[in-house]
Amino acid sequence: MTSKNLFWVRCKENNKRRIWVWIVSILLQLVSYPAVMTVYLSRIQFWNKEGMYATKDIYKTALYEATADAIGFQPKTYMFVIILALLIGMQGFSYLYDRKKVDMYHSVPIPMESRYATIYWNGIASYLIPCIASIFIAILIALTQGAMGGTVLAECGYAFVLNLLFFLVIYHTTILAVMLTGNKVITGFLIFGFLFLEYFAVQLYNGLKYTFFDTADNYFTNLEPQLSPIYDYSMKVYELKWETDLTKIGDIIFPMYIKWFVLMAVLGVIAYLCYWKRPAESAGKAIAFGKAKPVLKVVIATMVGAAICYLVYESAYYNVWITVLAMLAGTILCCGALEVIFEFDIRAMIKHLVSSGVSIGIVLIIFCIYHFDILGYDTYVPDVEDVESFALYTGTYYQDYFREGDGYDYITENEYYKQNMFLTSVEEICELVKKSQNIEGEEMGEGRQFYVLYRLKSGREVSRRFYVDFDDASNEELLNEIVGNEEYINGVYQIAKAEKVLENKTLEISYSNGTVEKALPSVDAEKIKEAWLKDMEQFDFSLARHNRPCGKIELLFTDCYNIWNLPVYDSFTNTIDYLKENNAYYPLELNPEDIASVTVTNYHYSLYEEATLYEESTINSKVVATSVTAATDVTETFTEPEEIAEIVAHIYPTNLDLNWNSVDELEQDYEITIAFKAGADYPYGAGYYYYQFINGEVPGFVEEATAWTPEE
Amino acid sequence: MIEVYNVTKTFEQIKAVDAVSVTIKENTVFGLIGTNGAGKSTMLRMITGILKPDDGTIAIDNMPVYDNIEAKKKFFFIADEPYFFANANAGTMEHYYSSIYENFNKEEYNKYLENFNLDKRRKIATYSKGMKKQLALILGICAHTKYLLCDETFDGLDPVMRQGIKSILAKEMEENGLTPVIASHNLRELEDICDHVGLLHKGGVLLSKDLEDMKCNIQKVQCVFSSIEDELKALSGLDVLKKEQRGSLRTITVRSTREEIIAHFATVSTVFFEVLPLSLEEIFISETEVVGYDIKKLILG
Repeated sequence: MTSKNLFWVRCKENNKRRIWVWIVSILLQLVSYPAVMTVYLSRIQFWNKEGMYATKDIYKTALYEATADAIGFQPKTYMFVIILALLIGMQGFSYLYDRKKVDMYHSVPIPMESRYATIYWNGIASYLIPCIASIFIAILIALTQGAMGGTVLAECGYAFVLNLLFFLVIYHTTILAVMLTGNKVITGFLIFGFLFLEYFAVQLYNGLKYTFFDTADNYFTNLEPQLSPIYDYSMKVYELKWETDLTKIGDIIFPMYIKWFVLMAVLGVIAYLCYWKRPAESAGKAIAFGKAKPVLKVVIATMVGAAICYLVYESAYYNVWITVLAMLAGTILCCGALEVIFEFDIRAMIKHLVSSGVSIGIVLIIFCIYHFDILGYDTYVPDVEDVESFALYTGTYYQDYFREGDGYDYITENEYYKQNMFLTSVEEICELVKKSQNIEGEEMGEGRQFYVLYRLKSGREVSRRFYVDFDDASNEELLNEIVGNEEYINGVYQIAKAEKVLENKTLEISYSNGTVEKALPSVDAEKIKEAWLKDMEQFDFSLARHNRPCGKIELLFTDCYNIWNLPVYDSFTNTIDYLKENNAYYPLELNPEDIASVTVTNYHYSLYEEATLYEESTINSKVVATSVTAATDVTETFTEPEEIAEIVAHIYPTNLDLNWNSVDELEQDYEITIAFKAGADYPYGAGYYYYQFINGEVPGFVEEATAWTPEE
Repeated sequence: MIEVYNVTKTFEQIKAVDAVSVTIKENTVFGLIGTNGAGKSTMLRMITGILKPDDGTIAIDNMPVYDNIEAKKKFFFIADEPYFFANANAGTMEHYYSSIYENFNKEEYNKYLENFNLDKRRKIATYSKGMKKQLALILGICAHTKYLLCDETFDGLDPVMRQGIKSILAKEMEENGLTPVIASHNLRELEDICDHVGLLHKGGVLLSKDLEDMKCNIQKVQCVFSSIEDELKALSGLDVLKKEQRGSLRTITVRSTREEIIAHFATVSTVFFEVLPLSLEEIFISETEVVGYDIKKLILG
């Protein structure tokens, strides 16, 4: 018999002992594809009969979407794939756990590579053949229902390759775990470890960083797992599912293909090498390779120790001794438990004390690095000469950002900043950060957390968080230098860089002074941009800090519902002139004669404690104290013209953003609702408008009228 | 020929086999004897290429055995607990082994199954322990390899079956040049079948000899000497392994041939003299006592 024939004979023989795996695979795949396809399509057909789809085109689109949901990117598939990969991988090579089986298989004249190849390829076949057949049946079902199009088919192809690579990564991980262990339970633990170790390590790293370091930033950089296929899949599958553009799917999916292919290949090679090196006597033992035990022990125990540090430090109110004791106890217990697992012997708990000592040592070093900030994380300020540029998030603007293109892909704010904000006032930012590091808690005035991303000339990017005291006059100068320039405007306001997007027909522009909203001609988008940017030349921290916007221009892209808000200040003469030309400018101040009534509610938040009474009540035959908080809000409506005039002179609309101003700029206790007269000159819409008092400007008669006294 | 040279195998800190050298000649029945834990199974598992020795070499017909398919084609290994596939019957196993061993004789296999009253269609899981061992032996014999390595295979077989198997082995040796290697912890089981015996103890070989040589070279003499002088004269020229005295009757175990003993004692005056044959058990007792072991405790129980 030729070696090729022998291979097929062996495959056939091997498959006879894997029939149940085939059955499980076939059932899961039939459920996953044709059954789901049938359900999805029949649902669409039912809704069509119910008249849900107005036109044939809409119905057709719904059918296509249903087909894509069934055989394209779908979150449920990856659970099936994981189950099959684990099952097939473990079942195929589980003979290595059993000495009797090892004795038989390894004594017969079959080459080791041939035995591996037989089991390996049969495993893949038991996934792949039912998968292809099921998808084929699903496609046939879709074709008969007229629910299959070229794009859907291409998406199905992308998803098929993605799932196959995902299967192979998990399959190879499983085989590697089997090769390294001699027992199913331990294999299970090791697979879990392989699949999630990096994820846990990253979470631990991030967690410890944020727990111990005041300047840890999670805005610009947050370490994410790179080698976890499950994390990758769960993160990307929804993005892929909702993406309809094949080119964009390709952009997302090809890097994943490459990464998973490399990962799969590396795992496969290591698994195969372990198969060759695996001693037959390891059948039934916990770990196949004795030398792997101390490595595993140190890695796991160190992670457990670090995790305990993370969990206990905050809970123990930053008590160092409690944290250290908990870490040591956890690490020692973990070392002991691992020895018991490795040896299947409770007496082994105190064995191999060297590796236990190493684990404890590493855990203590980790704690010291974080607790004493040995690496100088919190005191890091780059040398001015080393910084190319930086991006700064000041926590002030809430805008939508999108990638200009056909589909206007939404992108996150921090991503936009990373890509578009290149500030060069390096000296000033370093000075600001240094000042922030030297500030003591009690010296802190009102301010805000800033996030900075340094782009170093070496190509490295480093990010930090720091607190900026707005009350510190010397900071004002620095901030003026940093934000009062074109670089900053370009980095924050997408309109500054917008070109074709302003010609978008779905763009709607309006101006609002917080009360009235007037539409502006969208054809003027470029004109508005020009005027506003001209005005923004005067923008700096001082302007924004010490002035309140008198209105805002809103640009709404109705096809994607992205909004850009542009603040307008009294000094923005170019913008205001344009608005006036278009009869869209209305001053912030309201005309009391237009107002029918003003309703003021004083919530008395500061009296909350006083308003809370404790009463005795009985729960489960026990007398307990329960708190009852009396309502502290007092509402009063003012209709007298003098009173109205006095009130409106001291209020500010709630729907204008006070980004840079003091948090105490407006009085938080009061809510003001204004009802306008029906025949007012001012073009108010119907309904109510909400305002707040400017801090310290609440008229005395309002305070008196809305005072709260506790009930006796 | 199977040549085991200076082989050592350690499991964690325990030396299971320690510098063992054994040669298994073709067309003989080699008995590997030792207590539980003596290293018999480890030896066989190394000879069959399942385990890799830490040190030393193992060659089957001058071919290294570990991961060598050509060497593995030369033998069939029957483990102490033979493995059969889940839900398999004798037919399933026939199919599997016939796809692996080119010379597997299906007709012979069916004939043996019939002779041993083993139902080919019955699930092996329902077989008794003895039946499973019979089936493993039949599979091994029908594979028609040059060597048949059996680990405790005769344990659990009833005397009739054992005799039947022995007859088949004898026939295969004669007709096909089979070389069985049988490991057992029970010396009595191998006494009437082995040509050569290797005694393992605590991972090392206490002795490895041809049974015939052992039988021919050790004699038990019972005699009553006429005088003390005669006794001293008689014993002075002999390699005495053991000497017992009950009244004037001396029982002497001597390493020599029967003829040499008779000729030697002819030179001294004896009241009574008789050369008796030694059982394998007695030979082992004598041989191992010489090297300081109490064989009764080791393998006779």
